[in-house]
Amino acid sequence: MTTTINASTGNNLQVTADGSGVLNIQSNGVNTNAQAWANFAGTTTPTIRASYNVSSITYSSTGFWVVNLTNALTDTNAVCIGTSAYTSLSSGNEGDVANTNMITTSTVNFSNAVISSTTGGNARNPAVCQVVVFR
Amino acid sequence: MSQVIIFTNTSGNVSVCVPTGELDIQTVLTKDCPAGAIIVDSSTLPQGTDAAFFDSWKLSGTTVSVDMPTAIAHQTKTLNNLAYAEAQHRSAKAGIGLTNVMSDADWATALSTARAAVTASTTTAQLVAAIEPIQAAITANAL
Repeated sequence: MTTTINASTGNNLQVTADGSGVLNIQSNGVNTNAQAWANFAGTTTPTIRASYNVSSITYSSTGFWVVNLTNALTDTNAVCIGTSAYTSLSSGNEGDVANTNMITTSTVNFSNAVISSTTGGNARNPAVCQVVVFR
Repeated sequence: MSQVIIFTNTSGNVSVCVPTGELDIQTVLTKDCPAGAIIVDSSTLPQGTDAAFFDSWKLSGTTVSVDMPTAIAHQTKTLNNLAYAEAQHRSAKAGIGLTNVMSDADWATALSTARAAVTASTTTAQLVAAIEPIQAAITANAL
C-alpha cells in the first residue's frame, strides 16, 4: 500500500507502509526516515530500552555488540550513526567513542572504546548505547 | 527471568543475544544466531564478579563459566594498563615539581604484590581484590 502526501505541489513527498511493516517516508524516491534504531545498555546481557526494526542485540565481547535488524535493508549502503555515554567521565583526559558499521543488510556492528591521552584506546561497556540506521 | 540465546562465537568467546520482542525467540534463534546456539534463562549466566569477566566466559554444553587462566590473563592486562598510565602520571607530576603520594619504591612493591595476587587468584572476586590497592593508590595520587 502506498499513500502519497503532497506537502506542496511537485515535491513528490511519500509515506509508504510496505508488507514488512517498515515505514518509509520518501522524497523523490529516497527514504528520509530511520530504517532502524535502538537504545540499549552496554552490559553483558544488553538491556534494550527501546528499539525499532531490531530483532535482537548480541553482546560479543567487551565494547562490542551486533545489532540485528528485523527486516533487512536493500543493501549495505546505509548510514549508521552510533553514540555512547559512560556513566560518568572518570577523568578529564578521556572520553568514549562509538563506532558503527553495517556489515550485512541485516546486521550492524556497534563498538565502543574509551580514548585516553595516557593509555590510548581500550574497549569498554558504556551505560548508554544508541544506534540509528538510515537508508 | 528473561530468556537469552548463547553461543560460542568465532573468537572463542561466548556471545549473548537478547531479543527485543519484535520477533519470538525461536525466530531470533534461527535468524540472528549460528547453528548450535541455545536458549537459556539469563539467570543461569555467571553473576557477580564472574559477570564482569565476560571475555573469559566459556560455554560447555549448556553451562557458561569463567575460564580462570583466561581471566588471569585479562586481569594482568588490566593491571599493566593501569600501571602504564600511572607511570606516565607519576613522571608528569615529578616533572612539574609535585611529589607523588607513594614513593617509587613503595609503588614498585605495590605493583609486584598486585601482580602476584593476580597470578595466584582462583576466583574472580580475588582477581578484583588483587588490583584494588593499585586503583586506590592511583586515585590517591590524582592531581
